[in-house]
Amino acid sequence: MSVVEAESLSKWYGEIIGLNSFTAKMGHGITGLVGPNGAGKTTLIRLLSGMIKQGKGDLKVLGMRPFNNPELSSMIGYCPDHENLYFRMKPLTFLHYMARLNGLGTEECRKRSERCLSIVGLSGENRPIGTFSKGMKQRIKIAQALLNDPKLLILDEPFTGVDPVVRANLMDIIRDLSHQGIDVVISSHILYDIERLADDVLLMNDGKMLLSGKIGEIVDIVEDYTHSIIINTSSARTLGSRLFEEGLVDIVDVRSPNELFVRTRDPNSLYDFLPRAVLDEGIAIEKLTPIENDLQSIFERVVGK
Amino acid sequence: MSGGLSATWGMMQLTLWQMTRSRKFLAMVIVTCAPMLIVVYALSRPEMNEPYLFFNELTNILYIQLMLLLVTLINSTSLIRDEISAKTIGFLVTRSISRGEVALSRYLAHIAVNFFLVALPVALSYTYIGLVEGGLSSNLDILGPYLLMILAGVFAYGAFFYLLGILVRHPLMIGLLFAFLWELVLSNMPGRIPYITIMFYIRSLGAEMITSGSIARYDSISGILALGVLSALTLVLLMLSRRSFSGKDLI
Amino acid sequence: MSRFYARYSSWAGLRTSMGKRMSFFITHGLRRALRSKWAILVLVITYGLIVMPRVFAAMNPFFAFDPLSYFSLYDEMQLFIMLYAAVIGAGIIASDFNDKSIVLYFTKGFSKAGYAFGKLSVLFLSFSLVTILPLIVIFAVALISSDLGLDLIRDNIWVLAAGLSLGLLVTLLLTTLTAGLSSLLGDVRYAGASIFAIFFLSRLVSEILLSINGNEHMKLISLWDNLSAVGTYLFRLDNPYGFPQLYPFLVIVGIIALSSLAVYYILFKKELSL
Repeated sequence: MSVVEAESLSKWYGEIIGLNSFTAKMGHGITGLVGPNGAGKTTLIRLLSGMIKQGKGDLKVLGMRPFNNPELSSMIGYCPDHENLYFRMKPLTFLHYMARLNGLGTEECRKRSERCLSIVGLSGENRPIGTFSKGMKQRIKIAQALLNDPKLLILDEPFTGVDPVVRANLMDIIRDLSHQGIDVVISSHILYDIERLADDVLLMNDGKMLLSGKIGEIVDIVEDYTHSIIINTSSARTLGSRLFEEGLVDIVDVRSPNELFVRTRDPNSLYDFLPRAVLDEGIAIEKLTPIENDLQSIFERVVGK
Repeated sequence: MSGGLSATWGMMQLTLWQMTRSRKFLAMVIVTCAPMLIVVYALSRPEMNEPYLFFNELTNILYIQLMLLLVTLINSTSLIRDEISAKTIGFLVTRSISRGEVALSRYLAHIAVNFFLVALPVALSYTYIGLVEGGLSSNLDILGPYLLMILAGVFAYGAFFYLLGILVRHPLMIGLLFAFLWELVLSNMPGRIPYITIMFYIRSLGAEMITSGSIARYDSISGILALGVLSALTLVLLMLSRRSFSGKDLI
Repeated sequence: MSRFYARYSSWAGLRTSMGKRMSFFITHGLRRALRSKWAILVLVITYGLIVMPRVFAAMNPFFAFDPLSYFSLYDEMQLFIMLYAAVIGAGIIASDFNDKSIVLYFTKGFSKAGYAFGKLSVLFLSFSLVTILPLIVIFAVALISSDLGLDLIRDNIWVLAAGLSLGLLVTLLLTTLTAGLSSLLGDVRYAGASIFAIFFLSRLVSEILLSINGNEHMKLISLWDNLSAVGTYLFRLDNPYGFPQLYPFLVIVGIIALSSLAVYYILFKKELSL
């Protein structure tokens, strides 16, 4: 049985179309939804999680319709794309209440909250969530999605705005969850993020599905795509020259003392190197912003083919 | 499988946590309790001959006609609307609890807070008067009806403002118009015009049971009928809230 | 990248002066405030229900320059002025905090003083539409409907001056009070409700205290009674209050000062932690 089955699914927001006759099947494992901003990923995620009701077409998640369906909700974990949480709550209190909403007893809530916090590496954090960094907020969002031992985890842009160490760490967590038999649907506008994680990938644009298949097949189609990244760092010049020395990048452009633009054909090695640069060489990296125009060029190529 | 009673109870606890663990709640307690200073001052005056009549008037004018409206306007409109604005609603409706249960449990939990905010200063004022002037137990026929009026008021106004908060993105303006133009102005008009306000039925409840003060002089209908109207109105508004929230796209 | 976006190049054109930017800030804010459907609704109701009947009454020579008629205009408009203040004023600073856009102003060359001045100007001009403009309109109609003689104008111009002074005071009070509440509470709903609460609560409390001790000074607690008391002085009416009209004037000035202090504290002294 497919985890998700969508048939001619459409969703309109007034006069704007979010999803346009979208048809797809998602199987077990990790499925990546990739597309530029406005492609319809978040609309699809919201439909899958039952936040919004579908327009035309048919949608089944784990064989059930998702809108306002608590039976299905008890089997899925949803991690939204935004950072808003109950900022005044401490993580354990937040998870405790979320577990209560899953219908768990008090003792069970406590145990699962503590376990989920430890899964995401936040055990012992006892300050209000509002004081957390972006990466910690992402982790707490994943933790709350795990409280009900979900069969399906729905993650909307979980890597947005996090530094390379947290990014790598979140990927490990998601991979580990998948190995334990949890199916994952994950959205991103960065093909590379999905490439590292997903078994299957679904390319979306303008509310439609462009291409779907095993990640290897998709990457083969677009094998020579380059990957552009803006790196905000404490020392753009040093990091730029180190990346060049290592042969990890084709183009380096130091745009300011704290901003570096690079283009690479081997993002795997680059992403592996960056956490090392942080830990071993003391170069602070504040933010990585992959440029989605690469994705646009891939789409153009795909559509061209 | 739905989370059942445990999830509903959890939602009520969460709502209570959210409503009471904030500086705004503290500010509201201060605002609603501040008029108690007037009671303390009034009792210190030698010309205060009828303290329970004073309590009667104070509660009617200040708590029934103003605080009740203010507290429910602020708290009830924000109950769901703030979750939608802050986007945290996604954490609530993707759990083992139906949207209908979310709507009802949040409403019920907030009733307790609203009742506490309005009834606490009334009960404390009464107790203070009783302790200073005596007659604590012999004037319960004034306190009791007022507490009932406050309870009926938080249910009915709560349901109205709750629905408003679900339906309208910025409920403040309609809420203020309703509270201060519709309710306060129309309920004091002559003839049958007050019949179209909630305040009329709340007052009718009091007028049936309290024999002294201005509350007894209002035009009214029988208390049972008023209670019936308020209950029916609350139920209808609540059903509409539940229905509206259950079918809402939460973006 | 350049296939999709224009390349950045530094702006070679003229930059506008601070004065022009401020004027844009104010006119933009004013346009935004007055485009609100609720603001329009309150304006329509206020002018339709209260101002227009007064305009027609002003055509009657008997009422045309009657000070009592001008004075009572403010009393009748009280509720609508508060509604209007809540609609326009509640979010004036609070929404900039809520949507975290306040820092954007300060990164565009605006000083905090400039921001405060701009916001207060938007409020002042918006409120003038219900506090000052109706009076001018009614007075103008009264003049046009009469024989427009110089003597008539000379004899009655003080009514306009009194009305404008009271209007100015009401506008100043509302401007600073709503800006103070909006910045202090940082929440549109709370600020809006507080504007009402302050006017209603102060009046109710003053009436209750007056009934307890019979002391007329209790009316000084009521914001609207203070304005009315100053109004009776300006319109040369009998003083129905048991205290000199200077007291309420001082109370109003005090509230204006306190509210301005609140705006100053929130914008200048408090760290903008977004």
